[in-house]
Amino acid sequence: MKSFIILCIIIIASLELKATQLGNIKGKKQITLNKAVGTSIVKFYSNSPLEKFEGNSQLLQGSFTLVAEQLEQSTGQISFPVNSMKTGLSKRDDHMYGKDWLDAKSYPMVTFDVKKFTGIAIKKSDNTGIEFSAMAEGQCTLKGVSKYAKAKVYVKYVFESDATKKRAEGDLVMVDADFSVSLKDFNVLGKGDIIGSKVGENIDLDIKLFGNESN
Amino acid sequence: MSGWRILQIGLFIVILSLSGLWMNDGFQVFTKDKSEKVTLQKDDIFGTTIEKREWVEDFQFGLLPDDPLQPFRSLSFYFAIAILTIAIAQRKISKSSKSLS
Repeated sequence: MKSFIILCIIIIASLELKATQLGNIKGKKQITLNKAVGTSIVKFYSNSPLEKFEGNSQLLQGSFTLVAEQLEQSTGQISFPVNSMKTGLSKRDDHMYGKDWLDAKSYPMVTFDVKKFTGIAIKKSDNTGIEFSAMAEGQCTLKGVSKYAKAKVYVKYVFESDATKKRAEGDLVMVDADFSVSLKDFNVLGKGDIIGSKVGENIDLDIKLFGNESN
Repeated sequence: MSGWRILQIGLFIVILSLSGLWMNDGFQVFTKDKSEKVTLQKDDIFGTTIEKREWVEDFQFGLLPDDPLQPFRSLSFYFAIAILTIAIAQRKISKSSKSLS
């Protein structure tokens, strides 16, 4: 029995210590969003019985740190201003920034704090770069409410070359992320019964980030 | 042809034209004042196609108004007025044809 318990502890400990290596890269890589690499964008989709609509924000800012020897420990923070979110209908945008909705005056930013990566799967690794998929886990903060959130991410890490140097210094990174938020969870209740009829109860987010290595 | 009948035909043409405009604008539920211009670009570094998106001023006629204080910015507003006017005109036509007979 005692040896069985010890075996279980060893197995659990080894699972905990499982580390994914980012190719042959060493140390920590600080990646900062950079327009020269590409325009980072968050697209959001609302699906309700009355109308389907989408909008976006292209004013994303932030950085993340990739821990090459243990990708699981990578962290980061991405944010964008509420009043940069546009849907093609100015009146609706004004309502969206208002107190009943996202309250841009009191809570001007939407943030996503990445605390760790899980389920990492290296998809490609060669002399030009590395690609991997993972789940980014962390806290999403909207209208002053922070909730645990999980985003599916796909990362393309491209090593510095003559071609990449034309855009920006250092290694370049592109991240594709998808996740969904429930408006109710973040205390976004809207007016009357608009949520569920004109605005979806859940908003799907599709994020594309472009950055380069910064020291 | 009486004035009421001409009004009915005129309104029918207006409604037909506005419905055509609404269809042409993509069957929008709400009137919109901007549309998104999406340009696709090949990105050789990341081996993918990236989208460049920008909002441009573009009025798109909707079934419902974008602003409740400006109901005339919607197809439903003209529809309601036209149906009401056509009905009144029809009543007048019926009345006048009855009085003639």
